[in-house]
Amino acid sequence: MGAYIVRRILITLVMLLAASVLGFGVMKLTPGNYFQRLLQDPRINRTYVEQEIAKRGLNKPVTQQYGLWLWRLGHGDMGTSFIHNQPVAKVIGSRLINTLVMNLAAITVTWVLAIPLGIYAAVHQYRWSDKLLSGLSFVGMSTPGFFLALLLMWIFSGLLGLLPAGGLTGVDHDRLSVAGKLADYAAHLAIPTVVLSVGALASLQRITRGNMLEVLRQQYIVTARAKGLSERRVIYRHALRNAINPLITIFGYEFAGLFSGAALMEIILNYPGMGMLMYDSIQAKDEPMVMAGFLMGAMMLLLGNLLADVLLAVVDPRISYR
Amino acid sequence: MRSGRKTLLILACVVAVAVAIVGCEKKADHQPTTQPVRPSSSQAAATQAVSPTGQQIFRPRGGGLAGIFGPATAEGYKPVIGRFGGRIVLAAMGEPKTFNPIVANETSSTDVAGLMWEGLTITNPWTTEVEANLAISWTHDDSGLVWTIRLRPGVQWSDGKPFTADDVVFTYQTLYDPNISAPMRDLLSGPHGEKWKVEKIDDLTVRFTLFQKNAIFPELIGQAIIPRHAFKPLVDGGRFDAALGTDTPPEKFVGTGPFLLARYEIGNRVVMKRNPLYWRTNAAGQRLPYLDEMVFVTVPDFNVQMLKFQNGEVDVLQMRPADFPILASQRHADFDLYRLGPRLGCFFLFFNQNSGSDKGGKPFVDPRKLTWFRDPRFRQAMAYAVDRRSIVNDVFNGLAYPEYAEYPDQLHLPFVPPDMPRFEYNPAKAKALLAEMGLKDRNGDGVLEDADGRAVEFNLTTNAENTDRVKVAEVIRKDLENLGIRVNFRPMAFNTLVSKLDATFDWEACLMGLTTSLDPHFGANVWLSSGQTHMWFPQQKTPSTKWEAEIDKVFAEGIQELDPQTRAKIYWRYQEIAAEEQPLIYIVTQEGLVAIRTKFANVFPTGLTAMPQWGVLNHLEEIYIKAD
Amino acid sequence: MAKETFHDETAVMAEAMGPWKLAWRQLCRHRLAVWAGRILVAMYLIMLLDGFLCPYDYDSQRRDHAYHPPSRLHVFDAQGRFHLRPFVYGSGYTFDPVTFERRWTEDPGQIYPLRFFAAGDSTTMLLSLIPIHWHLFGVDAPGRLYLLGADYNGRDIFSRLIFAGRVSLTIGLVGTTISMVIGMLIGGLSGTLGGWGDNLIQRLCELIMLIPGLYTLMILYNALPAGLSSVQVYFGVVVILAFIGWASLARIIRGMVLSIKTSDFVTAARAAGVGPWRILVRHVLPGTFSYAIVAASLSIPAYILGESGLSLIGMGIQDPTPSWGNMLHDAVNIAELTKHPWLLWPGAAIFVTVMAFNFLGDGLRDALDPRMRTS
Repeated sequence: MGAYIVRRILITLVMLLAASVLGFGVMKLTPGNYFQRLLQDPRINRTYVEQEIAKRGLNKPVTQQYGLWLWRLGHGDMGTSFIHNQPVAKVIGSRLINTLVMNLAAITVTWVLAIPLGIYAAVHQYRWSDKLLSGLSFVGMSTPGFFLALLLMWIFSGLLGLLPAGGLTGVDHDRLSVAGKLADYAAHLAIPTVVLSVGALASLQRITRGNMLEVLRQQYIVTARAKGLSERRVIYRHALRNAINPLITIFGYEFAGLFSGAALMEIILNYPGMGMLMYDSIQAKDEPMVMAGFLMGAMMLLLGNLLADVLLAVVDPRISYR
Repeated sequence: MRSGRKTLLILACVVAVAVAIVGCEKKADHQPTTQPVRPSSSQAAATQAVSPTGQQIFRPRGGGLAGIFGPATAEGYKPVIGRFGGRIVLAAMGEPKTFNPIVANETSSTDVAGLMWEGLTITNPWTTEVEANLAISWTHDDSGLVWTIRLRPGVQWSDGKPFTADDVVFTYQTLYDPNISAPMRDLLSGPHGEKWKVEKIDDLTVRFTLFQKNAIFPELIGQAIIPRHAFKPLVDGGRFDAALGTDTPPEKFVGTGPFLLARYEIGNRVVMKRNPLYWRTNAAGQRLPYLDEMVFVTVPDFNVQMLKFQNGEVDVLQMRPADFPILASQRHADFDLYRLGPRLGCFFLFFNQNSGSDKGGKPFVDPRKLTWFRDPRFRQAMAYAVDRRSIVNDVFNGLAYPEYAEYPDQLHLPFVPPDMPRFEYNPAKAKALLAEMGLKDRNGDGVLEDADGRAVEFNLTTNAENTDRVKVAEVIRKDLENLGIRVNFRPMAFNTLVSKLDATFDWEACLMGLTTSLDPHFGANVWLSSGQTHMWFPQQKTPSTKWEAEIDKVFAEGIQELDPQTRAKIYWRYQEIAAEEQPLIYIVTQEGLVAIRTKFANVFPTGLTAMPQWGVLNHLEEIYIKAD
Repeated sequence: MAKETFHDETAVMAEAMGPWKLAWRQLCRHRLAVWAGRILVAMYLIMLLDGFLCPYDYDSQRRDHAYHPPSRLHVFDAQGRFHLRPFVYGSGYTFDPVTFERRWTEDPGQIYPLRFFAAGDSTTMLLSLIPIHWHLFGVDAPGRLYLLGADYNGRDIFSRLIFAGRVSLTIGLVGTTISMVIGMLIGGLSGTLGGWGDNLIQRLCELIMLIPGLYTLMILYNALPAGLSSVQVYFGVVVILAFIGWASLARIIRGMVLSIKTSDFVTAARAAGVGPWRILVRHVLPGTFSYAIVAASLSIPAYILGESGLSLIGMGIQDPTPSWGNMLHDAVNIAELTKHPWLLWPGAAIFVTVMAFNFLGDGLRDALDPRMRTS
């Protein structure tokens, strides 16, 4: 297994390189660059725009540009964002933390709620509570995320005025006490967390339910019950552990998504996260930013897949890697 | 189950019978007794009150509803002495990219930088005349090439050092520095790189020697002045482009403007604080501004901007036409609404008249279509075909004005000629013009064909991000379909669109907008045949038509004519030509709509602006918050 | 004695019915899935008969009826007379001179009775193959019947909603078919090959999955040439969406194949000398079918949601061709939504369809998994 992991990591590095070439190529596929949009301002001269283009090296051949980017990356320099005129690392840094916080909050809410609900549904299969939970789950999975975000914001912010309308912090954030600041963050995180967790919660709940049901039909459960163990013990001590195992691989995939944000939802909720950053950067062709974000996403995805594969092998003895 | 099915069957039979009786009759002649009711947008019909100073009052404040007012007038500008303190919060569409006033090239940045640094002159928002700011007088000699500027005495920078001619000289040196990317440099330079000579005569006098007479010199010196003592080290260090960026510690900002940067939270907001050494004073001699703090919250989504305004997070809202009825009928309104008239900005349909070819020899435009696009009759027919009234009503909720020229008539600008030809909605005339060109429906399929029997068809595009433009394009597409022209409409991302318009030229028809300024010369890049924003055929080596050559002459002449009356009449000529030739087919101009909380006083809005939000915050330093 | 016979009988019955028949019976017991299935069948039928069922063509505009509220049907006219056939009045609006709200008025002098099997707009049905100008119901011109209100161009939302089914209901089927076929073949191949071949294919899949979907979508969409007809754009969009989707499916199929590979019956087939391709297609892949069907029923709603998301950023199906996604474009504007809540109907349509597919998928999953059988 150890050798397998080392091999995979090496392959991951090669993959990242290949991915960067692919990403760079795809980005350069469409003509035009960020600075051409300045030409639309009648007061700005072509020479100025060409100066800006030359300064960033955008008029050089594509292979040379890629080489330059790779060289700089090797020295730890991710470049300067065209849009923000700041080092890419700095711009990403703040957004990354925001996205991370949001994703962690969503994951926590999802897992803390989904597993108990899934167990409950499995134990009470086909009773009305199971059906109700199923129904709600499906409602959650069926609503487009951005739409739900808009609806919630309209209701809770526009009509009821209970929650702030998007953003990360209130205007007076700095003047609040520590407790006040935490409350401020919580209020702003409420809607994004709900929107993100609703869909995931639904599917995770159903998967947990499915796994539990499968486990509960096993022979050893029947045996445990026959031995006279209490229902609680049967569920929590014996069934749960085996039902949870397959879910662990899902963790690997969650890991992959930790740093990516849902662009449409962030735009609507005005949440300064990675999703909105990447969307804007792609639209505007902010090349250093796009490459940095792309590379980071790729790395997380590859590591996440590796994690999922390893966990899969650990959990399921039928699978082995040679 | 069985009884349920039976009931269902009986019900179905009943319905079927009912339908049969009621339905399949022959069409009796139920002629409509009257014409269908047509909507009328009552912009002109409403009888409005007018205040003693000429400001329109669409609805006075009262009954818990917001007051709706028009722009203030010059006579109405009477600021009172106010209270100090308080904060105003605005919504910004984007984040600033830099705070460097020399290098900044888009509005999110210039909005902030423009509050920290000021120019020698400003433009009066009502009379459009140039007025004193950091300079108190500017005179030219008989040749018109040498201008002498007297600076305002007693002005201090925010760090206490005096503002002198050295700062002016330094600013223009920086603007002309080839190592620094200054977007405004082109307006100050000649076609072959000629520069102005800027010399200090004494601490409060500067002499500018121009290479050519320049009628808009007084406007051009509205360029922000930067402090020599604080910024020269940055320029000498050679990295001025990157200096004064968004990561600069706020103490480094030294300016003469009313506000200075206090804090920038990336992705969130920009907080500005009052400059205690700002030179403008109120009638009692106290230093302005009244407000302590000014905050720009980054809100890229219009929906969220409105929500934030409604729940009190933001104090000023630049409304979309659809927002207006909602805020106008909101109860317990703690804000006022302003309708500022047509915005400065144009929105037009235009066709690719580029007769060039790409590097491989392939013409940019299909030659068959090029002959149509280059024929003024075709463009006039298109102008006749656009149903502007419906666009105003359906897309802009009645809060827009049909536009037939670059500058709206209602603004009564001096350089806009009266009585220009207008191609108002008239599909019959459009059809006649097209028939004259040989484009008629030859085979009765409802589509126009040319002499070779090929259908009249072209691609229309606009930028996908702008929903209003997409809707307008759909209306135009339908109008042209009714005329018999097949239009393929596909919006695209702004960057892709711009690269087609400016680099690859492979487009046929496009819907775009441009902001305009208060002087026609700022649009030179659009109207000069060599300009790169000469939308329909940019960067021509020589003018491709007689009328384009004539327009070139107008701009060359106009910039050098120093007498304002004569100058205004020179510019009439290019607009008359544009109205006849229709290279840009104007559609509508939106109304400027802003909401602002009633707690603010000394609010004297102007309509002569491209950004209505700033129109309402006219003379920002005078605005204060009323006592409860 | 009787009990044992009973057991024998069910066992015999179970043996007599193939696995598919058993699955079908199990599915029919899942009431929600059955209803979901019925609703979907109804929706597809309505979609096929769209031209006939709708009173108007999807592009039929009335500029003076922008944002017309849902029509009110009357039976008593202004004089109090009863009409056997319900009717609508002619209507129009003016802007309130102060607030610019639309004030709608009905003209009692203009009466347009409801007609069935009436002649109207020339339109098509059966996925635009059959022209038709008779409609199930309608009113005489120039009256208009708006069952669900109108949009900014005065186009009937009810008609557009149904015509939009052509795009929204088929995009899932077409896209899923494409990505399923590719995913199963490649995933199956990868699982069967094992070793280096498996590794290489998996890395390729990962490489494709690395490029963020939005990124690819935006770039590929902008690369589509300008003069395409709406149908061609539709297929372009479907292919783009499918291109992003197949890689993750291939990964999962490959995982399943790896498990199945070690089963006894596969070992037996190999021992019997059956070629690897035959083993893959005839023995291994069918084992993945149950998962594939479930995955298909769950991926279809993903396409519908994906298309609506694309339309939101302006990169989906273009006007005038309606799709539920691009009809929602207007609704994502809170100001318009508060005044004209009927703009939300496409959202309801998406919601119902996606829910139905999810319930159906759930039922299929329960039915096809032999471990979930209830006898």
